Amino acid sequence: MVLHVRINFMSEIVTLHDVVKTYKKGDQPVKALKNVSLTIAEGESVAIMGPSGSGKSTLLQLLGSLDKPTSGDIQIDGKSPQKLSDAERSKFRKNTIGFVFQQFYLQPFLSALDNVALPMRLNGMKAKPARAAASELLENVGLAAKTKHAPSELSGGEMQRVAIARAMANNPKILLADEPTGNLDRKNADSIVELFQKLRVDGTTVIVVTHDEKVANAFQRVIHIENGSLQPANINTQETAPVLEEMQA
Amino acid sequence: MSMPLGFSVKVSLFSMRKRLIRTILSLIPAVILIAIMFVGSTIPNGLVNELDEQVLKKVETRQEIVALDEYLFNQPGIGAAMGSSGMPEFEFNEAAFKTAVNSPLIKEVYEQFGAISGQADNIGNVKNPSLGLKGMSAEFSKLYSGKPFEYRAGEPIPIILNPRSVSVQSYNFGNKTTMELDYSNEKDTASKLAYTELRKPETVVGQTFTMEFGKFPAYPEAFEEQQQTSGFAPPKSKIIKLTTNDQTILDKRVNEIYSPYWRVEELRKPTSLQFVVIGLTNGEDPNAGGYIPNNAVIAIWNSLYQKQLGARTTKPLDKEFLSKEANKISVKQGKLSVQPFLSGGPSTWTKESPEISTWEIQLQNIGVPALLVATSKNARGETEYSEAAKQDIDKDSFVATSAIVKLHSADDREAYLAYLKTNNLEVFDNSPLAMIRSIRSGANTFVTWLTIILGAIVALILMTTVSRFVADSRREIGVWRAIGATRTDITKLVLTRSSVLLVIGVGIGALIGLGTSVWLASEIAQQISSATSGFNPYANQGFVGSLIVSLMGGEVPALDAANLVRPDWRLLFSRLGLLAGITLLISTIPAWRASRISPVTAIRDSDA
Repeated sequence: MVLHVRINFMSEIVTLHDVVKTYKKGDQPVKALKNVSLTIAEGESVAIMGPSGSGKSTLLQLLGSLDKPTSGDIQIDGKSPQKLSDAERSKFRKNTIGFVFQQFYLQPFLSALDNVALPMRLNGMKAKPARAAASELLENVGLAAKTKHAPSELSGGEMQRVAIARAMANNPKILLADEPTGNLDRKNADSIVELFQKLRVDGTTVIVVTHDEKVANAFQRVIHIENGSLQPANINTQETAPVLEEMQA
Repeated sequence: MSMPLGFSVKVSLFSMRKRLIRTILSLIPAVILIAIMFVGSTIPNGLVNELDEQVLKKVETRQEIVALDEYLFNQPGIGAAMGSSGMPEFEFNEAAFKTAVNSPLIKEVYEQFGAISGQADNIGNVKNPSLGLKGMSAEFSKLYSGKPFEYRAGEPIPIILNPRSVSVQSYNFGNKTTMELDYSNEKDTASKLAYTELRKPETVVGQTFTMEFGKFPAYPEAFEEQQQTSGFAPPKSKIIKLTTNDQTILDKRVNEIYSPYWRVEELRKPTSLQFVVIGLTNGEDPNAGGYIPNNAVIAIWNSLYQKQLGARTTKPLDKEFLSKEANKISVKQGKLSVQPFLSGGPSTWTKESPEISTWEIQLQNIGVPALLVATSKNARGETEYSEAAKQDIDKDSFVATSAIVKLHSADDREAYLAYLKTNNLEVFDNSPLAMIRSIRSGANTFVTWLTIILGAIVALILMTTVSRFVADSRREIGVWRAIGATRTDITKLVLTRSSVLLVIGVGIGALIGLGTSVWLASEIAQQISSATSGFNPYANQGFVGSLIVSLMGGEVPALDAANLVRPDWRLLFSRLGLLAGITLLISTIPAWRASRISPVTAIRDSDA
């Protein structure tokens, strides 16, 4: 276990080098990201913070290989998603990255179980094994009793757990979460953060965009972004302790 | 690996549930179209098949018979075909007639001489039908009846009745002076039955009845006010008998005009003849109420002629009397307005108001004297009228103005019709086979075009629905993309959605179409079974019923409603395929759009 975490910790899973992302707003180009360089280690947990319009969502889009940078290089799990075709990128996303959204975006007409099974079904898996795997994932997030519930029958915290289980469906190396606690109360937010911690301990790299400082502080590293640039102090000294502890354990 | 099809169907179904009302609304046109397609692929096909089996085979041998009606050879103009009653208004084209009957495709020619009309007392239980009779050769009559078909003086005249053309245009008044007739009353079962009975050989053949010819003066006994109720519905009628005063005025005027030339009381003596029904036609010539032997037509005209000769005074007919303009009776003190009517029987009569004191009868409508008038052309090409020579009317005086030809085989029909066409003698092919087939091909063409036009509309509506779904679901599609759906998956999802909509539309449409077809089939079968021949204001025969019966030449086929609901699967599926093709083709537009939705829409906030 120790060795596993250690190895994961040591290798880099995300590398951004001099990444620039420019949008066109009308006729005016807007630089959403300005020469961002960043390295995230495998198994690391990172929180991205920044005010509205700072570029944090753009950063998350690039980290999730949803979009291509205007310039610069991105390496995720040893691949350069910007060099892949659209179909290859979809496949890459499906297998490498799990997404969690602020609004959960569960399919309202599917049960918790089928929602979690969805990415596996998209991956061509048959219904039966997909459901079995989904059931296990729901158990991991503490919702074994609610597999048949529709999203409308779940609380916000439960819906986000289902969303996290869905994000983990294809066993991704990276979990990206966009304001995952934004729609939750404190208690639920804490339990979601706890769940992220657990996933990280199991070896998943967790990257979260958040406004909530308390949430951010639970992560090993906090990256501050402002005006499209990363701010210098981005190591959460306070939170390095748990990581070290695990390493030593 | 991409998303399994079953899964995308499930997703489409579930997401439709979310937009139920919109989905239902967008399906309505598809459902209507598919129902129409279903009915259109079912009823005409079933009808044709049923008619094919039940009737067409039976009448197929009759395909070798082609009726050459007078209108083929008669052109509007001035002529002298002695056979027709009154003054002929059409010029007979003898060259055309010879061309038509001299085709090498013809095996036999049954020439028909002349025509005459009269008023029967009762045929079966139909009272006072007026019948136009045509001459027919004995050989041709064998096609309808094995009985001897020739006229022997003193014996009843054999007649082959065409139930389709039997109509009632005069009325039994009894002691009344007015009658109310409600043709729109479908429950008048007695009258309906009367017409239906006419179609049954077992009740009609063998019956005798009398007919009156050359009635003088032939002005009507009554006039009729018709009140059209609605659309195609039979009218209501009020029939008013001429009052004694009206008749007195008319008689007085008739006497003033005719008595110098004829002894009117002699002319008034009725010419009544007895007939015996020996068979029924299936209406090869729909214009004839019945066929009598050629020599009987001549004999009837001759007896009328002899009656006139016997009544003739010595005063020669003057030019004024003979000229068309002068041949009108004007009664200044009368109360009636009488419009020109068809020879042999009254047509439409209107009493405009009791104050009206002028009415006219054209000479040609007073049947008997007109017979004595012959026409010729003068040097300027104008028609001149003169008194016919005092000779017996014999066969030489009559021209065969129409004929029925028998071809070597039924297969020659088309070739013969083409022959007529190349000789500028366009004949309307009213054979049951031709008509029924043209109905089917017409219905098929109609439904196919409807499928293309309405199909495009349906596809556009479905596309709009799907486009709105795409527009409403941008974020959702972005999420799908983010969690790994490929563009192909999204395209598949949208196309599946269109297909699912279409499949639901087809399902509901087919059910409604089936229900409509079953209803229509029973309606058509009922209409046809109750339809009777020609003018029958009482029969609830409806449009389709009367159409089919008239196409079948008056024969009423017994149709099994269940057999009418017989889809032409090949046609139905090809139409559905067409519709599906159009829908999927048009749906590729929103599908393409959806597939272009960037996954970044899943994570987008103010800074993007």
